[in-house]
Amino acid sequence: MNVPADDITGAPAELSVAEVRTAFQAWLHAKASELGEFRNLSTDVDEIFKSLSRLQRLLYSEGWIRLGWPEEVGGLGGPLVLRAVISEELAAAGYPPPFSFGTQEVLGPAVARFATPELAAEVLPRLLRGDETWCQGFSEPGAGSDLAALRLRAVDDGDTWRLSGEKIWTSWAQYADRCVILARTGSLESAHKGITAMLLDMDTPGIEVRPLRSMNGDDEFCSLYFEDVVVPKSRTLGEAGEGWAVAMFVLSCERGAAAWQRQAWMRWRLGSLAADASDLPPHTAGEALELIHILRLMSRRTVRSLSAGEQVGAVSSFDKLMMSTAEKFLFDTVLSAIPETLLLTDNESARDWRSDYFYSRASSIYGGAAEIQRNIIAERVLGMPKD
Amino acid sequence: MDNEDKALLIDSLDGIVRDQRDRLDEALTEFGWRDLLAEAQEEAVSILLRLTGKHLAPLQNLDAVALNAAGMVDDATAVVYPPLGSPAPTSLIRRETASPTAVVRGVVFARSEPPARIMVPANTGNRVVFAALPWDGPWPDTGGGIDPSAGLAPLEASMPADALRITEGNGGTDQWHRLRAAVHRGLADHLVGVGSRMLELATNHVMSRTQFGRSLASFQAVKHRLADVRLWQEGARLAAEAAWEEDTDSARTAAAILAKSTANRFTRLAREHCQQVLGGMGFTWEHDFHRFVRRALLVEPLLGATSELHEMLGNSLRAEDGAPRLAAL
Ligand SMILES: Cc1cc2nc3c(=O)[nH]c(=O)nc-3n(C[C@H](O)[C@H](O)[C@H](O)COP(=O)(O)OP(=O)(O)OC[C@H]3O[C@@H](n4cnc5c(N)ncnc54)[C@H](O)[C@@H]3O)c2cc1C
Repeated sequence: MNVPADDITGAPAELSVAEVRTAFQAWLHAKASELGEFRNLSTDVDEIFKSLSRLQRLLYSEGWIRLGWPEEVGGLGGPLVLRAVISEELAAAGYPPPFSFGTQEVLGPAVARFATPELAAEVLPRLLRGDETWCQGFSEPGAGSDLAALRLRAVDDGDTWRLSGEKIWTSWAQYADRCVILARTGSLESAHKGITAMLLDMDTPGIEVRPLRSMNGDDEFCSLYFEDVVVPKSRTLGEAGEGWAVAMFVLSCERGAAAWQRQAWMRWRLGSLAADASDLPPHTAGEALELIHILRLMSRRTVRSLSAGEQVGAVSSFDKLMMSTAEKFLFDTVLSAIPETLLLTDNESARDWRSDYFYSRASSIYGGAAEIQRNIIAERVLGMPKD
Repeated sequence: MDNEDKALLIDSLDGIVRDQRDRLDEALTEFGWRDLLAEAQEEAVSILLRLTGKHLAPLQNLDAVALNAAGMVDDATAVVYPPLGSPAPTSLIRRETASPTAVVRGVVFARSEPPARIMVPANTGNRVVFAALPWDGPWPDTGGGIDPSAGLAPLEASMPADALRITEGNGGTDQWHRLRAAVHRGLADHLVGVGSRMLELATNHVMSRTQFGRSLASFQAVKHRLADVRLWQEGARLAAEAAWEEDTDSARTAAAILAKSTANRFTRLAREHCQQVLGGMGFTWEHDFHRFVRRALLVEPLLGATSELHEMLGNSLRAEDGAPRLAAL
């Protein structure tokens, strides 16, 4: 069956994965000139954010990025894998993901699952449409790998929580309208049992946002300071004291579903490298292809599990560890294949390679460092004792 | 085949491979494995080859797997594989002269009776052909080298090639690629079987041994080595499985190379890290570890060592239509 692109909003539930893929490819092809501006994004972060929201609104109004989300939250229904199809085809055609890496696939599913239905129906459509961006407030100065040591305090004031404390490394918080935040509602000793997750409006009084420049030169992340920030209890995600489950679910999406986007992007980047570097050694390119393929197989499995509503668990640690292995190998390859471009050239393409190279160094740190993934694999998969 | 049937099949074949390794071929024929190969190639190959890896049984059945994929089922025919390390044929057929000759160079599986024919992927001019030649010389009757139990031996021979039956042109290359893909898939499963046993031996060892008053398995340096091996076990399993799902020849070829190269990486890491955590015990003759190392060392370069396989993958990136897109959602 050949689905005309403008029919997509009509009957998505009946479409197979292959039909959606073909229809979306055809749409991208037909709109190639109109979409041209999104293939060459400015290097200015504010401009990037603006164009990405334009792309996102366009994809939303045509229905493509509403596929795979429930109707109650502004989607068109159909299985979650449809989202993965759309993001893959976008990357394969050379478009950036229309939303910051951290948002839609990482935080969206958690809000869909843990927010009250009213809250989910209110906020998710805005996220999908590109009207809003969200950020993830987990890490604190004293709680990185050991996330359960977080201290940002939420005091119970009856109908509201009152938040005081700090967050750090919160990506793109300066642009964010909302934040999925973890706060301590139990005693410090209660560790992961005393944590509550909530969805916070970033314009609530009492929040100070200070951007931090990252090593690639972007104002990638921020420090957040909270003083008596009031959050209605209707914004609690899941039960009070059960925030750890929300956090683990977010991390499984980050390690799995986001890894799927990442592999599609890396595959496209490897293609660009082959075009830019005529003497790229074939065996190195082949090894990169192998690593990306394995990441693809791992994250495909996770996407399928999430789509079927199954628990992902420790398996997503494989995805995350393979993702950082593949990404670092790919950009080490870039460094040795086109050193002049990466190190000494100042045009836009060179700046992109440079920025991507630097960002790849973070892949074994964010979302749970590589060492933490190895601990999880050893302890939870191989059954070895904690040390 | 549903999961229950598959579990039953694994169970019965496991018993056969474990207990009847000395007459494996006969036992498998009695069991009906040959029929299964014709009807359900994926299950027949992946299950058997993984089990022969697990139990370090002879690998002879690879000939049946290879010939079946090339569309020629025949027990009296032996396949001549390229020499270790090479993914491409090195045998030659010379046809310029009045009496054509074949220079055959590669590795074969030992047989108690010499085969009636050999199938040789060979170069002639600048093309690969697939040649059937009658055989009447001596044939290795045991495997040699680092792991005789695999049944693999080198073969070199020069012979007249008048009675040559040859598949030329694209037909020959296609047939060779199909055969190679089948063998890559089979070897990937075999290595997954071998590597998984190494990881099991190492994990059991570190869980049961105490040093400095604590379990070896509680040291992070030990855990992280085995976690890396476990990561590649997962990758190798997924790649071996995915090698069966493609439906065009070029995608199947690429997916099979990926399965083999990933499995090579798994056993290479397992050889390194499992050996280290096994300590002195792993260096003894008594401990089974060295048997698995031997098998892995021999099979990793069969039909292409990792670097050659990577090179083939890398070259596919530059092919006219690019590397095929694999593993659709
Ligand atoms: C680019 C980027 C974006 C980020 N975005 C966000 C965001 O949006 N929201 C958010 O909440 N956080 C974000 N983070 C923070 C990230 O989650 C943390 O950096 C990460 O969890 C590690 O914590 P840490 O930096 O405190 O390092 P630490 O926990 O101090 O770790 C430092 C090193 O010690 C190692 N280590 C720690 N514990 C152990 C152990 N038990 N065994 C062995 N080694 C160990 C680690 O593996 C690491 O190599 C981001 C980070 C980066 C780099």
